[in-house]
Amino acid sequence: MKTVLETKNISKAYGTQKVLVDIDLEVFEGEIFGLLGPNGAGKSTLIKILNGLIPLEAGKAVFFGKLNPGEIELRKKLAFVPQEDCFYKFFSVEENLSFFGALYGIKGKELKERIEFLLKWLNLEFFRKRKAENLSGGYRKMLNIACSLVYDPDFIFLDEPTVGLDPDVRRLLWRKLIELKERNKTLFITTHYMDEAQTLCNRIGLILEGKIIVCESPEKLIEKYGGEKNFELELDKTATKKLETELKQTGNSVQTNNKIINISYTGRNEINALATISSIIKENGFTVTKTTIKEPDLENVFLNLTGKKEGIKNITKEA
Amino acid sequence: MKILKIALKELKLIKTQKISMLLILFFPIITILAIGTAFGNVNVFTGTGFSEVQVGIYVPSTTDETSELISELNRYPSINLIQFSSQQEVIDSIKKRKTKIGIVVEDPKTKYSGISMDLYFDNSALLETQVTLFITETILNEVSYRKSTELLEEILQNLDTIKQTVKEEINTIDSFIDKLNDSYSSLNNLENRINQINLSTMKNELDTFDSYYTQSKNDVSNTKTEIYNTQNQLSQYKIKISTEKNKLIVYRNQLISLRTQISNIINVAPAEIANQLSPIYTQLDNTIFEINSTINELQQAEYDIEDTQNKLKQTLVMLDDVDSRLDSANSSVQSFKYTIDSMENTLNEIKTMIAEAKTSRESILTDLTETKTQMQNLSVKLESISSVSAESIVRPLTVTKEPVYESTEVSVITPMAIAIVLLLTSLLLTSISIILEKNQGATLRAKLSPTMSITWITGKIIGQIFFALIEAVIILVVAFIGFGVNPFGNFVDLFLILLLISFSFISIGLFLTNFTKTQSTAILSSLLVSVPLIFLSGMILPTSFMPSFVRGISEILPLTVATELITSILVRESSLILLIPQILLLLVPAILMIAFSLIYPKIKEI
Repeated sequence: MKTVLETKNISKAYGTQKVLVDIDLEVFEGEIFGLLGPNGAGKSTLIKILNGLIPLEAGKAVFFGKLNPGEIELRKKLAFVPQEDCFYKFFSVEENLSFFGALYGIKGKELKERIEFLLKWLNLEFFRKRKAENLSGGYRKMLNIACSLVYDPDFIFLDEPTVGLDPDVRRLLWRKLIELKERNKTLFITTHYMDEAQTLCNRIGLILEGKIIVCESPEKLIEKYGGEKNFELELDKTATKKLETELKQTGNSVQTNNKIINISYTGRNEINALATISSIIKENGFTVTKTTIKEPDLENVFLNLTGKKEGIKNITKEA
Repeated sequence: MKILKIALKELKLIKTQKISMLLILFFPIITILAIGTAFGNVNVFTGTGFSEVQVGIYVPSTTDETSELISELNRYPSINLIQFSSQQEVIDSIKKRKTKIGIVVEDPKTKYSGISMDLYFDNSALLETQVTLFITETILNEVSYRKSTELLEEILQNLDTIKQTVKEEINTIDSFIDKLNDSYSSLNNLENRINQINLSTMKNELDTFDSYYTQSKNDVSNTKTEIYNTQNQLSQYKIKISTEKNKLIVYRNQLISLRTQISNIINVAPAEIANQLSPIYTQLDNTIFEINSTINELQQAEYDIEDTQNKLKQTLVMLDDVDSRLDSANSSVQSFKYTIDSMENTLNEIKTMIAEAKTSRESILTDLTETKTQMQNLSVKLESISSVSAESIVRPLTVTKEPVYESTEVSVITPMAIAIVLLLTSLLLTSISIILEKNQGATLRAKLSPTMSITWITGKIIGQIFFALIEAVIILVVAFIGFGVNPFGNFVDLFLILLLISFSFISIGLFLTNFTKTQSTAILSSLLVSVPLIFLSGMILPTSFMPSFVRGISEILPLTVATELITSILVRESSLILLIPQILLLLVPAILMIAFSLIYPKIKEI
C-alpha cells in the first residue's frame, strides 16, 4: 500500500500545556483512517497542523512522499470537511460551489462539469438554485462536503462528518464516503460515533492526551482490547439480592437493575455459560423473558483503553 | 417574574461575550474621551488648552489706525496674526492651508472714518471656517466694540472737558456778575455821595467869600478915585500944553514975519547981503518948521491927554461894570468854586470808578480771552466730534466677507458626506463581511485553498472598494442633480483619491477583524473606531478648537485626511502632487494594517 501521509514525532504545546506528543502516523492511499479520542485529546489540533492551519513546530508530516503541510501544491490535493458548515449561507448551492471551485483555480467547463457531478452525486441537483441557509441539515452537510470536493482532492479530512444527521442521511453519507474510498480517495475521519468508525474505517488511531496510544484496524482493536461479552437478561419480575449473589458465584461481573440483569462474560463458551445462568435464574423462581448477547465493539475498546467511562458517556451523549 | 428572568438572561448572554462586554465598557469611555478631548477644550494630557486661529493680514500702509488694529488683534491669544505683503499672499496662504482667515485692510480715509476690510475665509472647510470665521468676527466685533467704546469714551471725555469748560465759563460769568454787583454798589456809593452834596453848606461857604468881595469892591473904588485924580491932573496938563502951544504959535508967527522980511530983503538986497541972509533964512525956516512940529506935538499931546481922559472915563465906566460884574462873578465864582469842588470830587470818584472799571475790564478781558480760547478748544473738540459719523461709531470696522473658493456650502459638505459614508460603510461592511466569512467558514476554506492570503484580501478590498465607489458616486450624483455641486472638477484625481480613501478605510476594517470574532463585536469595534474618528475629524468641532495634542492627532486621523483630500480635489481643485503628504498618511498606515492582517493570524496560531 502506498503511504500518502506519514507523520513523525509531531508535537505541539501551548505554553506549558502539551497538546500533541510525538505523533507518529501512517495513512495509506485509498483507505479511510479514523482518529478517535475524547474531547481535548488533540484531534482538532492535529488536523489543523496537517492542513497547514497551525504551523508545525516539532516533528514532521509528509503527504504523498514529498509535500509538507501548508504547501500550495499540497492544498490542491487536500480537502478538509469541517464539522461546521463552511460556505456562504446567502449564496445558492451552485454559487457556493462555483466560488470555492474558483478559489482552487478550477474554471470554465471543468468547473461546470465538476459542479454538475457533485450536485448529482450528493443529491443536491434539485436545490442548486436554493440559498444555502434554506437547506435542511442533511443537505447542508452534503453542500459542505461538496464545497470541499469541488476541486477533486485526493486526501480528504472529515471532522465529525455525520454529527447531527438523522440515521438515513447518516447512512447515505457513509455510502458516499465509501464511494470516495472506492474511487481511491484517502479519507481521514475524526468521529465520536464508534459504529461509524467501525463501519467506515480501515484503520483507527486512538488519541489520548495528545498521544496516539493504538493504531490498528477495528477488528484487531476489538480483538485485542474489546474485552468481555455482555449478556443482558430481562426477567419477569424484579431480581432479588439472593439471585444476584448466586449469579456472581459463577465468576462473572453482575449488575442488576429492577428486572434487568447485566452479566459480563470473559470466557469463550458463551452457550454453556448462558445455560448455567438460566438454570440459576429458574431455580430462584424467575423466568427469563428476553436474552440479548452484546459482542465487544470499539466502544469497549475505547473504554478499556482510555479507562474513562465518564468520557465515553459524554461522547455517547453528544453523539 | 418571567420578564425578570428574561432580563437576567440578557445580562448573562452579554456576560458570556467577553469581547463584547469589553467593547461595551470601552465604547462609552472612548466616546466620552473623544468628545471630552475634542469638545472639552481641556487637554487631559498636556493641558495646553485652547488652540489659536491662524489669521493672515495685509495692511497696505501703516497708519496709526492700522497699527492700532494690528496691536488690538495681537492681544487675542486665540488668533495668531501673520502679516503678509500683498492681498494675493493672504489668499494664497489660505489656499495653502497655512492660515484659516485672511484680512485685507483698506487705507482709512480719516481718523474717524472707520476701517474697511475684506475678510477672506477658507470656505472649503465649512464648519472649521464657520468657527474660525466666527472667532475672527467675534474678535473683530470686540475690537470694533472696543474702538466704538474708545471713540465714545473720547467723545464723552471731550464732552466732560466741554462740561468742565462750561462750568468754568459759568464761574467766569459768576465772576462777571460779582463784578457787576460790585460796580452796582460802587454806583450806589456814588449816588449816595452825590446825594450827600448839601447847598446850604455851599451858601455858608459863600459867606466866607464876602470879605474878599468887599475888598475887591474897595479896590475898584480906590482905582476909580485914582482915575479921577489922574483925570484932573491930565486936565491941568492939557491947559498948560494949550498955553504953551499958543505961545509957540505966536512965536512962530513972529518968526514967519521975520522970515518974510528977510526973504524980501534977500530978494532986494545985494548978493552979498543976500548970501549972508540966506542961512539965516534957512535957519529961520528950520526953526519955524521945528516950532510947527512942536506945536503939532503939543497939539498931539493935547489930543492924547484928551484921549487918555476919555479912556479913563471909559475905564471908570468899565470899572463900574467890573464892579458890578465882580459882584456877579463873585457869586458865580463862589458857586462855581463849590460846584467845581463838588464836581472835582465827583470826577475823582468817577476816575476811581473808571480806574476800577478799567481794572475790571482788564480782568473781564482776560477772562473773555480765556473763555474765547476755551470756546475755540471746545469748538475744535466739537468739530472732531461732529466729524464722527454715527456709522463709524457703531461700526468702526466694516468687514466684507470674501470666500476664497467659488463653491457652495453643499459643495463643501459633500466631501464630508462622502468621507463619513465611506468610513462607516467601508469599515462596517468590511469588518462585518470578514466576520461573516469567518463565522460561515469561508475564510477557513480560503486558508485551506491554494489561494494566497494576499490574493484573498486583495479581492476583498477590490470588492469593497467597488461598493464604496458606488456609494461615493451616488452621493456625487445626488449632490450634482439636487444641489448643483460640480463632482467632476478633476475626475481622474477624484477617482484615485476615492480609491485611496476606500482602501484606507477598508484596511482599518480588516485590521479590526483581527481582534473580533462576532459580528456584534465587529460592529462595536467599528463604532469604537469611527465615533472618535468622527468626533476628532473636525466635522463636528473644528480641529482649531481642540487642544494642540488632540489637534495633532486629529490631523493625521484617516477620516480627517480623507475629508481633506476630497475637499482639496472637489472644492480647491488641488493637484495630486500637492497632496502627497496626505496621500501617504492614508496609504502607509493602510499598507501596514493589511500587512499586519496577513501576518497576525499566523502569529496567533503559534
